[in-house]
Amino acid sequence: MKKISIDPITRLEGHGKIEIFLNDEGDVANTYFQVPELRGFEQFSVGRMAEDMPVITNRICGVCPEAHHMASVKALDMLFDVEPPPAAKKIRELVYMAFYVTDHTTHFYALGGPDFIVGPDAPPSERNILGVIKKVGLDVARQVIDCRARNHHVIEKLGGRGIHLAAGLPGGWSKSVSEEERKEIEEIAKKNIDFALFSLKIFDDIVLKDPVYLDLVASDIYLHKTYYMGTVDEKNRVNFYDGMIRITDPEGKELVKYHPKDYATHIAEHVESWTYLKYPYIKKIGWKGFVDGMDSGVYAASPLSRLNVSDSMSTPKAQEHFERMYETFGSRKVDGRYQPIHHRLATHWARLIELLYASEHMLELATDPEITSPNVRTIPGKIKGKGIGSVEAPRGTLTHDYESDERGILTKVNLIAGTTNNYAPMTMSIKRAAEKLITKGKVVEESLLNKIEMAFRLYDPCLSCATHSMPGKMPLTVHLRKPDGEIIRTFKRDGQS
Amino acid sequence: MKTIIIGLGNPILSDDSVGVLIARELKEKMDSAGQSDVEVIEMYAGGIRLMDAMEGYDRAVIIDAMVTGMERPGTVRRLSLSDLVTTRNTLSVHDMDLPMAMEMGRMLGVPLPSEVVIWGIEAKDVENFGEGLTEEVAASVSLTIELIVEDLHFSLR
Repeated sequence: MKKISIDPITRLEGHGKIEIFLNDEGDVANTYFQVPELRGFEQFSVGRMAEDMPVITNRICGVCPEAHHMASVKALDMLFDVEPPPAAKKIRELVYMAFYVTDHTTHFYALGGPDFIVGPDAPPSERNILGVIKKVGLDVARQVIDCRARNHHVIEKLGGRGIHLAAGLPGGWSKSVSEEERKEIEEIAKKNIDFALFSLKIFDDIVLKDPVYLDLVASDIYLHKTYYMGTVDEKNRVNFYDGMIRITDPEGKELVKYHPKDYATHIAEHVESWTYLKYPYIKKIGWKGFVDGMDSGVYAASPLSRLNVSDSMSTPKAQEHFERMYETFGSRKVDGRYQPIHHRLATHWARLIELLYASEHMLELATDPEITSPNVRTIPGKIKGKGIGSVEAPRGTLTHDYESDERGILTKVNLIAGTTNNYAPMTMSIKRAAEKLITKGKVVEESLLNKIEMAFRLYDPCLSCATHSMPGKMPLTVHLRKPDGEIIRTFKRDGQS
Repeated sequence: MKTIIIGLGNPILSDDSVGVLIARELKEKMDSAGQSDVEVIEMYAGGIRLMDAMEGYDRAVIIDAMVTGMERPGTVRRLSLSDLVTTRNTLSVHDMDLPMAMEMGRMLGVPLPSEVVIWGIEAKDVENFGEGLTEEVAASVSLTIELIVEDLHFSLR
């Protein structure tokens, strides 16, 4: 069996090694995506005070500490059997919307967007934010930086610290919002809405109005008819902070809707011998391998998944764009709800719709009369000993599960990071890209690397939650190997080696 | 010369925390020496956020763990932005590496340091959560502090 090795993936930290095995005919037999996982977080946490977890878990990752902080405080609410006052929940959600705006903005302009804005086949040295600036102008970069700065300011003001929040407590939030702060945040939210609409317009002008890109987005290159997961509110609308977990099948029908505390009843983890990674799947359907379809328990949890499982968006402008996306893909409404979109490149579009929703919802929260209430904490009275908290991290449903003794000292900790949900679909998308570009031993070299990267990036994986990372930028290399593993040819990218 | 010293890394990921631990010790030294034009901070974020932190300074010193696999753990290297070898945390998973962030910042007119020095300490364990350093890396902490101080031409005694 020939082996093609691509290591590592540019623009992604993390030891993400991709192995492509060819069969005797020279076609793709299998692809493997390997990530050595960080170890020992549970051991590190056991024996500590449960209330320390919101500030410990947000150190797991330098990318989405806000998501870990929120999932952790929600787990503590349950562990300490305490209901936060409404204002505290709203402040948490407000901070979380500011985080979503920064996170989705960064992904679109710095990571995902370059593939479209600069072009999927542009040299990798140009497919980055500097290439985006060249194509759409310096003003866009200024807007991106301003957007990040104003929302980080909100996070810092309300969260007590810039990057690693400190304000979340079991039963609430440690700081109320002053009227002066509220007014400032209201203005910031309005600017966010304008920026989100502007970003959707860029997507519209550059991607949707270009037949080549539109064909790519709508092609079957990354089409997988899987199950989808996301959190929904009481009206089955997208919600990032709170709600029930809804799973829909590949035809769009609801398979199950459950409280996040019941995740272990519905989700199991499959183990493969070649990797430390565990592949979550839907228990009821079962693990059938890296395949899609009704009989395979593989599911995705991403911006597109969240939209796919929801009936609608709760804010008006996001709803308009939601409808437009589904109609562009020819999705029909069944039982009042759009059928799912399986074209994974639409995830970039879904991410921008979520950016708009986060901005609109931020404005709703900033203008909510209750947001400035001084009542932001319910003091916990007893320890229940078991707490599960979940939020939608930008990269998928994030679950924290803690157990403690009667003193609140942790005895067990389990986390399912957002990216983890998507390990199986990511592997499938990489395989699909490889299959399209390797036939009878012939490899479309540069396209292969680009398309594999695109497959990866659309899921916006954050490997640092779970992985050991490589030292910065390294050359992107492909080894072509004989069946016995001997390298017969090495390809390297211009400007990368 | 307005200087910022940034200790980079994850404080609970074994040797990845070495930059942060060195920065803490340096801060004590700077404070007791009354170095008012030197700011010492800890960070666990690369890319754009790291670039943001350097705004308005003439000189930046970054201290970070590295895993080249080619050096003995505890080896200290003085690097510049143009070196091909980079350290672990200057790149953000979620946006870009530091040279690109700096280039973008300059295009936008952000006042950034003309001098950026990166001190990389070869790590042994960056895969296990823990608050301590491995023996080899711990042994290099004092030396690294001396090297940095000497490099900055500070007199701290």
